[in-house]
Amino acid sequence: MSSNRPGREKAARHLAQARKCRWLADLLLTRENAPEAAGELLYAAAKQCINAVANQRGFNPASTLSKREFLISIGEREPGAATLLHDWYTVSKLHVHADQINLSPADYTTAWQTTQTFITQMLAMYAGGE
Amino acid sequence: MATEPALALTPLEYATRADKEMAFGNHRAAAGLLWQSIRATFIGLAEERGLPYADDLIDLAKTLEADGSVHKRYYSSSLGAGKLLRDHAELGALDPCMAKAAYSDIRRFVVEQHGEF
Repeated sequence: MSSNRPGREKAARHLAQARKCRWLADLLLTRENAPEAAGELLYAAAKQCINAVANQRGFNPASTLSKREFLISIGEREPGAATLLHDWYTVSKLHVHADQINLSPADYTTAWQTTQTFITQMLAMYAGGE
Repeated sequence: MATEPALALTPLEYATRADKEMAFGNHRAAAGLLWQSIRATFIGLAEERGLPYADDLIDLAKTLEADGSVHKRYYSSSLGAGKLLRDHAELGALDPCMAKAAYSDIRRFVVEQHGEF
């Protein structure tokens, strides 16, 4: 039996939420032309991914600062994860944009694509930890 | 058409001023100056290598990392993070704790490019 069973159950819940948020975000962007709401949801998906991977490994980064610390720690340990922290800052721009509507179309597209890459990378890490 | 202001200082000069502002607790001013340092760094790289660039610097970042001499997405992720500092300078987008953390994390890119200052 796993010694981290509650963490793994919580991780699975966060993972399911992440997938739902990403699916809805894609839908909002492509079918409803609602980039601000879509961006906020994609940001939420990225946050849920961090929680899922962290919970899976026995951590519980509730605050934004603790999510940052978790990303620093995996960036130091895992090859290919070095850009995760900087990408997380780009992900955060979607959250800011939802409130301030400040990104140019090119910057929005870059932030969106970076967030998708970030989520994909976190999902791969989760899968690797199963 | 260029929308960003012309560069008046070198990357290190911007970064040094940014650190001074940070030391005084002016994290929005510091973020703006560190963004200018990052921007100046990218423009310097473009000029050194004879590469074209647009205001958003996105294509330049992709070109710089395309030869595989740096780890995957090194320049584009650093540029993206730098732009969060720009947004913070303009809009106060981050709370003070996150502003400090982001400043410290993104400052590393400038140190990697120019050495400690």
